[in-house]
Amino acid sequence: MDKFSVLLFSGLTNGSVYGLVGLSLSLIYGANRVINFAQGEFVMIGTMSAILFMATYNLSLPVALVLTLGVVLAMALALEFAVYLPLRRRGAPPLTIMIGTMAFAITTMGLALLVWGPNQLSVPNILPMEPMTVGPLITNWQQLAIIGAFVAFLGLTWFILYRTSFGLAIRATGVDPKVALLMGIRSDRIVRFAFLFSATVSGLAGVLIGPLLGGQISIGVALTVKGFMAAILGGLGSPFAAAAGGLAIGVAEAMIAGYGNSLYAEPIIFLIILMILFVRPYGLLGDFEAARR
Amino acid sequence: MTRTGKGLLRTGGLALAMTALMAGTALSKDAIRICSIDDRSGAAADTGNESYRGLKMAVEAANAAGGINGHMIEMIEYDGKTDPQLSASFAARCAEDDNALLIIGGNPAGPAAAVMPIAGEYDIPFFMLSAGTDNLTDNPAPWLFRFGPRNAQDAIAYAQLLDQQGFKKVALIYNTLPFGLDSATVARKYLAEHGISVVAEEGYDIAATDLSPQVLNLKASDAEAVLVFPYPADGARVLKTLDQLQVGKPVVVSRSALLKTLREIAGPASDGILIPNTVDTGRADVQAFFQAYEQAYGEETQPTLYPVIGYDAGMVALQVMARPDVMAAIEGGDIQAARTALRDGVLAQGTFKGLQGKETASYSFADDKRHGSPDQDWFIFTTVANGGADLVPPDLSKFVPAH
Repeated sequence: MDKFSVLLFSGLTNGSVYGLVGLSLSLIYGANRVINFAQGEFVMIGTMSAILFMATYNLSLPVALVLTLGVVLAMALALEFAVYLPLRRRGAPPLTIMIGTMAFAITTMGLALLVWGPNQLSVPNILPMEPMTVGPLITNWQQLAIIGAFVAFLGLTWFILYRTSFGLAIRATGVDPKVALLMGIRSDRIVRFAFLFSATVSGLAGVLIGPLLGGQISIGVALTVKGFMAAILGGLGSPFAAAAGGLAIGVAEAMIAGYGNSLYAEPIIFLIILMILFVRPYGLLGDFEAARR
Repeated sequence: MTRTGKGLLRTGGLALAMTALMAGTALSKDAIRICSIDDRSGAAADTGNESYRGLKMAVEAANAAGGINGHMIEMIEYDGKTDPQLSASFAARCAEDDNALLIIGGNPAGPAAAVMPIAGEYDIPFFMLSAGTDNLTDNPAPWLFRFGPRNAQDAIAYAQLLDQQGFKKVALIYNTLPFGLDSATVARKYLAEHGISVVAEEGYDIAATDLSPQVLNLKASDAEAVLVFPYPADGARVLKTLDQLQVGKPVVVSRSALLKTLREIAGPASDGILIPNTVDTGRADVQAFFQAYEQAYGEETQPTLYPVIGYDAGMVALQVMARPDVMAAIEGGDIQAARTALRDGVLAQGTFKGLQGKETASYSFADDKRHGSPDQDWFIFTTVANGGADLVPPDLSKFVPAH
């Protein structure tokens, strides 16, 4: 087993999770300049819904996945209609809306507590978890699926943004929402799409990471923090930069833990991020956001 | 339930009934209030809920037997949600608004530490449960009594076992939360006292989905065994990774592995690990307790320390409550005098038999010793079998250094 390869693969696995959350955060930020502090709760609801439909009700995998997706999409609409739109209509600034998303996150956790209870639960795996050897690595299908989902969602996001007219409208709104509105682009649809798409990404990420992390109603908080770190490091204005930021954090964590001291991996990474932001305040790939300002 | 078990439980109930009858009092007296503040819905909810149920069993048995001196016991319960601030607010409410005689709770260390100063401020006894951080009782607080073992006592038990089985080099892996860090610190100290060196040491963030880097370093070391200090879900990840990377060394996991969650998530990867427990399943009274617990709550449970700690703390409170000076203060309507008498009663009696520990061991409290569990004869190691489902006595002849 080649140590470097194992560390790199481990970093890519963790980084894919951070990257998926970062990508979701960045999509919403790109559409409405709001940081969604409830993003990790979409992951949590994805994980817990998988338990509900696959373990509690013992439904078939396709049906359970469709229902899980239904729950996270309903949650995204609830966030938009119950928090975002009322605050927006009253002229609330992005900071106030951000606090609104935080309130939504806490409320969601409270409701999840009523449904799933407080305990950590075992999440059914949709792919085999038995160890298998792939070249120099020992891994399992669930870990490979996380990296696969990351690549797939990155590709899908790129396709939507750069190969569809709707994507052009999203990018135009991201550059200047007022001009986009004058050009006839309905920004409310862009925002709704951002909420729904990012909820889909995070919800499915929850289904995939649940068997590894375990299901508990408070798992979303740590993932929001990591996703936010990823988005800031990569560059908040671009989903691809945020995703790259997630990978960078994951790989750095693994390398520091493997070759250095795992106990100090997290403080070292925060220090590195801080130093990078001194040099590039908009993130490693934040030229787009810097230019926009 | 076995005949012996039923008999033992009946004996406990009978003793409480006798207390009530001897006092010859009516049942219409005011209820005595006790507060339960614990994590019932946060990260340590398994422990809080199990301890609460154990405590409730003690209280219900007393009430069924006529209460204490004719006074029914009323439990007021608060869910501290692993939130120190919230737990502290509830503690103040227990003392000030609820007029409770004492507070029982505190499985996670953070909230337990937050309740301590409130107990001191309001002069109300606080029976702390499984919170393991050592320094909570390093400087004896006047109103505090701890019923669970300290992390150092777990560490003494690991070190003694590893020494006895011939281990000389071990590796540590732990989460970077206070529980993991504190456990590792005390483990280092007591392993060194037994001449066992720590040859590799790894920490990890509980949100990481892949722990291969840390486990690879443990595998590469010449450690003969691995000691793990996790919370349930991350502990399962450590065990799965140890299994996936075929580390092949004996594994000892802290008492968090007693919880069903860790074993359910880890599945077969948890089979064969050793866990320190303070419940001796060979004791007839312990067997009776768990049979009664399963009947009361309608679900199968494994013999872990959490329900037992709640039950033991409740039984000590009930015993001391029945003392004449405590009862006189309660019946005189002076709750503060009753709290003081209860605290002094625990110290005066000093030694209490409970369900934790081996048959010969007892809780022992003194003015300068506020953790009741002794260093010796308290721990009984258990192992996991049948794909994580069962806790069974270990075959220690197989727990020897890996070569």
